[in-house]
This record gives sequence, structure tokens and C-alpha cells, in this order.
Amino acid sequence: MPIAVAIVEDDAVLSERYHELIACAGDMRLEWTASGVAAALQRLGTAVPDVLLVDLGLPDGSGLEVIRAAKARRPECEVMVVSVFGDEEHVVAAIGAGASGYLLKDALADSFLGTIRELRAGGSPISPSIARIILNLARPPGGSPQGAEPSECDLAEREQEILSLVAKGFNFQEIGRLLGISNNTVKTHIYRIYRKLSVHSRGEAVFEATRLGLLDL
Amino acid sequence: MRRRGSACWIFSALFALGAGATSARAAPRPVTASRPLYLTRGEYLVGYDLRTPPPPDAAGIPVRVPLRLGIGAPSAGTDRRWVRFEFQLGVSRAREHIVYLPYVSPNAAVYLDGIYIGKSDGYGEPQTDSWNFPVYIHVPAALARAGRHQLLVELVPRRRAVTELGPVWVGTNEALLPLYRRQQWLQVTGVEVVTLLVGAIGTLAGVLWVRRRQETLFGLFALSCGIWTIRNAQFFVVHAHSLFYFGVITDAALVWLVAVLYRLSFRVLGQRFPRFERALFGYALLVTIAMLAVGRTHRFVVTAAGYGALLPVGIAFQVYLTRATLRTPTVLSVLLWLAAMITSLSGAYDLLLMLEWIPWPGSYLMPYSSLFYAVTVGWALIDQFVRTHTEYEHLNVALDTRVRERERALKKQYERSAQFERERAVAAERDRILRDMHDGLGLQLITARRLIEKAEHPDHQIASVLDEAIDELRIAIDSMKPTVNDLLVMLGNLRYRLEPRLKAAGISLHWNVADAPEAIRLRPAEVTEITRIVQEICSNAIKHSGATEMSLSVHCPVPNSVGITITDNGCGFDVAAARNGEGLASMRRRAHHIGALLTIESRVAGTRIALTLPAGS
Repeated sequence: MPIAVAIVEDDAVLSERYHELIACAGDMRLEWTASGVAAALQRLGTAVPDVLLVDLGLPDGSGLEVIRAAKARRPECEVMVVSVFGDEEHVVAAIGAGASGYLLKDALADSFLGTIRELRAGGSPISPSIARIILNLARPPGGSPQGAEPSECDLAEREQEILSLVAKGFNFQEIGRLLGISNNTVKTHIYRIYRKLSVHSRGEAVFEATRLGLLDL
Repeated sequence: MRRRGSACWIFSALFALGAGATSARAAPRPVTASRPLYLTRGEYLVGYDLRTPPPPDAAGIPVRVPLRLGIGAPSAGTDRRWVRFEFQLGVSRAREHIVYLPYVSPNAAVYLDGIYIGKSDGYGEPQTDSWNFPVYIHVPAALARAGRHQLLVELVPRRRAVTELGPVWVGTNEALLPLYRRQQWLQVTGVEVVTLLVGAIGTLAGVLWVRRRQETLFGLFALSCGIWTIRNAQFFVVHAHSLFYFGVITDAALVWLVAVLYRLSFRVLGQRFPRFERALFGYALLVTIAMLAVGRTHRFVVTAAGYGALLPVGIAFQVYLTRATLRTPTVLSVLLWLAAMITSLSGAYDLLLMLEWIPWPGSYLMPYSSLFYAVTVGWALIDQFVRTHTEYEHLNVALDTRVRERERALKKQYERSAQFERERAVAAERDRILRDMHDGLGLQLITARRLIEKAEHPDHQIASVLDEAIDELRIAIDSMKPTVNDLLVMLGNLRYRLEPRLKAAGISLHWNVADAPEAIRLRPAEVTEITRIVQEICSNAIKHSGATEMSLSVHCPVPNSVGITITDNGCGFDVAAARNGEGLASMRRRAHHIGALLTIESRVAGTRIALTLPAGS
């Protein structure tokens, strides 16, 4: 059973490129493409894919809306945010809305397909910057543990540990070795962190706060 | 107003001996319960000066009271004067009969039909001073029978004092008690009350002055109140320790009072007459010393002269005060003028009373004028209190307003400087980005274009140049993000991006940062330059070294300093030959820019590059 992929992207060139890449991959098929929020929501009404690629900056609204709609209709749908570099705050906001992966617009062909396959297998990518942002959300700077408002998302100690190591630049293998756990366990933790973020997060708020520079990231 | 010493005294002295010239035999009149007898005609027993009552038939000359016997002779303390009255008592049911002497000075004893019935308070040995007290004597019931009676008043002259006797009342207790009480209150109790008030207010003013010496006006107020108190004491103090010194003090008090009140008035009017004021105080001192020096014998003359000399000054002052008050009529100056005016008028009244131009019985009013000074002082105290509070409140409001204005100004200034700072930072950032774009990305794109133009280079070489350009762009974008001051996150991001390329080149990178602090916070420019240097090293290693192992370690020997060491097991290069190469040159330039030290060692067995950023660079 090939992986059903849908694309929400307003840039025709990029959309075309993704289309080609998916067409060449034997284990994937393109379900549909949309170039705006309204069109995407309409498409979602008929078919929710296994993997949804969403660009955040759409002409008629925010991609976050599409993510929420997809996750609401079919929770097991994996959402990937199409991102440019320097866009980590938006990525974290998208994770808050339910995304579990992100893809750089300039990603190489095999990297693009690899990321989709990896995601299907339960592996979410995470960069040191994103790890640092999530850590800061979980542990507001200067926040005391006693009597403090519950933080954005309550991470387990092990999860915090893993995020710290990611933020320091370690890869999954190294983290597994340092903590004495397997590579896959690290991946599972990351995936779980993403889920927690989407459950607890006030995605829009996080997005707004980071955009306004209110959160010290 | 005391007859033996006051502003009016001089007149009383002049007229004293003229009294009693009229002669008329006292016509006995019956007394009834409702109508007491008012005896104004009696007989002065000439030549009888013993302490025992004279026989009923002793010779006398008719006199009319009030009677003044003038200044006692130097030996007056030893001899007595006797005045005899005759009257008729009618049949009365009244149980109590009274002999009432509203005025007798300095002391007297009273005999009815040759029998002693009572005396003034100061009568006795030694004689003390009860000149101002009315004398109220109960007649023993046995003596108060109907018929003719003979009343003897024994007067006790004192040296250098006028001996006086006012009219005599005989009547029932019911009729005379209200008269006595009224007189007692007017002459003694009222004066005591007023004096107490003056003393209290003076004390208040004095305490205020002690606490705040700069309030000289209150010092003068206190002083004047104190002198008034002393002056008024003669009206109710009977048993002074030394009559001589008490007399000197109360007599001299008037001169001092004049000096103090004049200065006080000048101050209230905002005037200063230093020589005149000094002269007045000097004069008061002189009079006092003279009084003490001449002793009993001539004090009377000294006092008379001392007061007399002040009369024209007093009149001139009153005129001056009236005109000055009209010019600057403040509440205080008007009150003070009023007090001075009342003092003058009451003095005149007392004088007229003494000269009998006002009929007896009367009471001296001058001590009451001190009340108006007390009111003036009280008003000044309250005014000062109210004014101080009002000023304080105004000051508070003004201060509040000024603080708020200052706050606003500061805020504006702060906003301006913050705005300026922001603009400066933005400008600096813009310069930096422009430089990066121009020197880095721009250069790489130009290189790529030149490669394409020459068209003799394989595509992968062009792709590699474009990859570098994209990497450069990423660092430039990263350098604009809030996380830019966290060195490890930035190095981590770099690794995250380079990892696929390193893997493709067959290089495995060991990431030795476990011992480094979780967050190494540096300035954004430092982080960005270090990241670029590390990227340059990695990309050199990918392109040229042929290494299979690479390691990066980060350590912080001291806080705020950081050392990065990158080694590889590649073929190495000739550092001296590569010195002028663009890659190394730009690394050195970047290190120099942030004050870091770059050491490169390269051998056939590999390359080791260390970058050290000292603390506080």
C-alpha cells in the first residue's frame, strides 16, 4: 500500500517539484494538491492523506488551520510543514497545531523522500534550534518550580535531557549512546515530545509570542 | 493699676494730698435689709497714731472718702491712721450684718463700737500687700443691734506707699454679697484668669521659639506675655517673699514691657529701629538699676520719673502705630494696634478712676488689656500653624507636580535614547548583513556565475559553490535569530546541516561537547564569526583533506571564555604555503575581528585547528 501524500503549496514551481519527486517514488502516490487554505479544507472534506505537506504562508490564510483540520478529521495523518531556514518558531507553532515533521524547501531529492518515509516510520526530525525553543517553552526562564503556573508542556526528565543534548548538537546515535538507550527509543521520545506539544500547546499563542519577541528563545 | 506705682501713678501722687478737703459730718442713716448704708463721710482722727483703738470721743476732722493720705513718712511702718464713721442701724430681721470695704490700701483693721471685728488679708506682722482685695467683714450678731454705731477703720500705712480708703458699706449679707463678689471677681479673680491665659499662651509661644530660634517674633511674644504675667501679679499676690523686690520687679516690668511691645510691634509691621529699640532696653535697664540702687527711700521718685519720661514716647508710638497699621493693615498688625489702643484706653480709664472722675466703686482695667495681647499672640500662633500647613500642602502638590513632570521628561528622554539605541543597533545590524551578503554570498554567487560562463567546469563543482552560498545564507539568517547568542545551538545547527555532506564525503564527526556548559552565551557577533570559521574548516576538510575521522571539542576553561579544537586525520596541508590562501585569510580575519586566537597545525597525519576566545574580549 503506497503512502498517500497531499500537498498544500501556493508556489507552483515547488508544488511541481514535489509532484515529480513523489511520482518517481514507487512507494508513494499523490492524493491531491491545493494552493490555498480554502481549497485544502475542501479537499480534506473528501480525502485525508497519510502524509500532508503544508506550507504555512498561504495566500488566503495560515497553514496552521489546515493542520488542525487534518488532525481533527484523521488523527493518524502525519503533517509535515514545508519550511525555510530561520523559520524554527513557525515550525514549533506548527508542531503545536499537530505537525510532527518539517521539511526544508531546498531539501535534496533523496532527503525529501527520506524524511517522508522516516516520518511514516515514527521518526520526527529535530534541529538544535527547535530543541532549544521547545526546552524554553517547557522551562520558562527564571520560572520557579514551586507555585509556578504549569508550563506550556510538562516534559519528563528524560525528554528534557534528550532535548538538551539535541540542542548541544548531538545526533540520535550519540544521544542513545550517552544515555544508554537505543536510537529508536530516542526517536520515540522526540515523537512523544511533539505530541505533547500539540496536546498542551496553545500553538497560536506560542507563535504570536515568538513573533512578537516576547519569549526569550 | 497700683496707686503706688503705675503709669498714672504720677498723677495720683500729685492729687493724693488734696483729697478729703470737704468737711461734713456723717449723717447717721438707718440701714434696712434691702438698702445698705453707703458711708462716704467720716472723721479723720488727727494726731492719733497708736495701734489700739482710740476712745469714742477722740478728736477728728470731717473727711470725705475716698480718702488719700499720701506717701507714708519714712517711719510710717510703725504708726497708724484712724478714720471714724457713725451710722444708725434700724430694726432688722436679718441675721447677718456686714461691713464691706471695696477699697482699702495697703491694709486695714475694722472696729465696731470699739470692738475688733475684722481685717484685710495682709494685715499683721509683717504687713504684706493686700491693697487690691475688697474686705468683707461679718459683724458679730451681738453687736448688730438697732441704734447708733461707731465704726473705726485702722489704716496701716507703708513706707513709700499711698494709704487710701474707699467708701464703706454697711448692710445685710444678702444685699452686699453680690456687690462683694462682683468686685472680687473684677479686681482679683478675673485678673488671675486673664494672667493665667497670658502665661499659658506665652509659654506656648516660648516653647515654639525654643524649638525654632529663627521665629524671633514668637520669642518676643513669649517675653511680652511673661512680663505681662509679672506685671499682673501685683493684683493678686498678697504674700510676696520680699515686698521690696516684688515691688521693684512689678514696677520695672512696665518699662520692660514697653520696650518689648514696641520692638514686637515694629517686627510685626516689618520695621526695624535698632537704635531706638536699644535705647528703650537700655532705659529699662537703667530704671531697674536705679530702683534697686536708691532703695526704699527714693524709689517712689525714681519710678515716677521713669514712668513719666515714657509718657510722650508712648503717645508718639501710639500715633506711629496707628499710621503704620493703616498703611499695612494685616490681621496681626490690626490686632496689635487694637491691643495697644485698649491698653492706652484702659490706662486712661484707670487714671480717671483714680482721680475720682469716674465714681466709685470701680475696678482697674489695665490688667485686662493683657488679654488682648494674649489674643494677638494666640492668633499669630494659629496663623503660623495654618500657614505652615497650607504651605506644606502647596509644597507637596507642587513637588508632586514637579516629580510627575520630571518623570514624564525622563520617560521621554528614555524613549528618545532607547529609540536612538534601537536605530543605532538596526543600522549596525544592517551594515553587518550587507557586508556578509557582499563578501560572502555575493562573492560565492559571482564565483558560480564565472564557473558557468567558462563552462569548462563540471556541474558538481558549480553545485558545490552554490551549496556554500546556501550555507552562507543560512548562517546569515541564523545570525538574525534570538538564539544567536547560544554557541552550542548554533554549532549544532551547523552540524545538523553539514552532517549529510560529511557523511557523503565519508567523514565521521565526533562531537565532544558533553563536558561543555549547557548554554555558552556569547555576543551574537562572536557566535556568528565562530560558526563561520567552523564551517570554513569543515568545508575545507570535506573538499581537501580526504579524512575519515574528524572531531570537534568545545571547552570553557574560565567563564565567558571558550576554546574550540577541531582535528582530522586527513592529509594535511602546508600552513606556510596556504597562509595567503583566501580561506585561511578570511578565517584569520574573522578571528581577529572578535579578538580570538586561531592556531593551525597541519602535518601529513592530520590537521589540528584551535580557536580560543578569551574572556572579556
